[in-house]
Amino acid sequence: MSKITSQPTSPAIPEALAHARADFPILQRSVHGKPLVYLDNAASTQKPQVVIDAITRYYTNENANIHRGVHLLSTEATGAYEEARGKIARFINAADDSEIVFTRGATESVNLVAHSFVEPKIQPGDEILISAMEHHANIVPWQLLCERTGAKLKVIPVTDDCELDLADFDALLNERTKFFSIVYVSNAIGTVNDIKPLLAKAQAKGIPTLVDAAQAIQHMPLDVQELRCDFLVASGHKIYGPTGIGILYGQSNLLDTMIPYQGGGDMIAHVSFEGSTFKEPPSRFEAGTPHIEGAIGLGVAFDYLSTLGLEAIHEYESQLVEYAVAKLSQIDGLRIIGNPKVRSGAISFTMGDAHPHDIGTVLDTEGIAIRSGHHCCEPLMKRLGVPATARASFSVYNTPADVDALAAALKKTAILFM
Amino acid sequence: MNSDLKKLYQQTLLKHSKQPLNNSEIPDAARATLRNPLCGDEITVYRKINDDGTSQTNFTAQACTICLASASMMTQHLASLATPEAAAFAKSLVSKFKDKPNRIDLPGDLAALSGVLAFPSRIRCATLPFEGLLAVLESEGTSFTSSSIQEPN
Repeated sequence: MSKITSQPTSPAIPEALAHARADFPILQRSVHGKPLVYLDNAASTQKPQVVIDAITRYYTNENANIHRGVHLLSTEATGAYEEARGKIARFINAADDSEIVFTRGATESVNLVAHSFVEPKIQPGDEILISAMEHHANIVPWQLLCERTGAKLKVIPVTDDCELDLADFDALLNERTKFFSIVYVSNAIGTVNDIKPLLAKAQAKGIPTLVDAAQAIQHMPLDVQELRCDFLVASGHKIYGPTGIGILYGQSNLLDTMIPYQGGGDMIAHVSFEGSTFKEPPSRFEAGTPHIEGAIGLGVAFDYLSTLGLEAIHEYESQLVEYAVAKLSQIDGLRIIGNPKVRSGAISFTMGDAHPHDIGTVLDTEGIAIRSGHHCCEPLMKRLGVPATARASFSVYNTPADVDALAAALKKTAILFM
Repeated sequence: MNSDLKKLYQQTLLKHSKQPLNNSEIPDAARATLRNPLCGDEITVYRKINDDGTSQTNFTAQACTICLASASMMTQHLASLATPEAAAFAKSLVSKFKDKPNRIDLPGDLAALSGVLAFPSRIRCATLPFEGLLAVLESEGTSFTSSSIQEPN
């Protein structure tokens, strides 16, 4: 493949994001004596000071259990927790705050839907439809469900460019299909799937849908009512929020019909040894004391994203990814994996004889953090014919200088392994 | 370049990874396939005892530079060892790396593996071939359990 020889133009950082980098204290530290260049954002983003402060403030001033005490601290903690739920509902334009369930992350959200919504409806021979582009979190819960119920897992293939191959979509989405779960943005390759028409087709056939938005919600404006998905999942720690917290959005008429996921305190209306009754959603799905500071921190992270503005983020990050693709394409022996029409957040690549882990180790000594491996997408890697890739993934605080540092370090890496 | 990195990717190691020794399947040999779930690296170790009592250890792998080089150097070193010695050597090497000491003294080309100590996340890359060997020997009935070297996913 011939290399582009002209120098790509580096994108300008827009006014709205001009100060974003300074909001993340960890970006001031050095790694192996070099300034940190953090390009592993698809794995987990760094946290802005406002999120760190919110967690500290919670434990300094508000800590108490929620939905229980009559004392002031409990009332304040409950208020902050439920306020966070409301912020998230508004962010994704849910019709009601009660459509947001706090979970441990996107993984638990998928498992919750599989257990409480899908499994009770499944008969042997029914089908669940996913794609070959899914993260393991949107594969394994469905495999487990199929093993328990005798249902079949059907998979939309992907093309060599790493786009969904929709040639047989209408046949895959058939009268046996009981659920359709699809990734919005590929964590491994960065492909943005045009999911709206697919969701519409499923809806027309009465098939409920779930969108894995773990790599979408932080990069582009997202409106669940406009997408018309039944469920949507995301993880807090990939959206500048704390770890151990995530969300499940579910349409209220569906959440209402669902059986509990876990039993315990706070999800019950009444308990006796003769039997128990359960609260309305979302409480029905939040058994036990939840990750209170996580929810509060996540609410603040969504506030932070709103303040920066998703439109500005989307436009800038798109330009930055485009710039990175152009810069990396100039490196001899480097092969970018996948060639999607629309790419967001991530670029996966291999480089000659340098194994992705070796690339990762060399870049680390240059202060550059990337991910190497299968990205929890083994079936996709197999389909694309690579056992592993190196992946650079971007967020609001990354700059063209980060891309330049990556390109320079990759050139050094190439020399080492030549 | 960073001095730890220079020590890690020294010529001996790069030479073995680029042109690994004994890098082919032995048909009908005892074999074991191990996988590092963290990264997806996979190695199959083959071991055959010949009629004259000598042995041959080979490997095939889809793995990083360190793992390939380690496997190559391992098969080279094992050529001179009888089964009990081979098992004892592999067990000792895995256990030494697991302790993450400041330095490890290894014979011959294997000395090049000591550079991995500065990169804790890569230690398993170096030990995986030896864990594979122990798994083969275990499958052959040599009583050197590899259960103690399993790491969490």
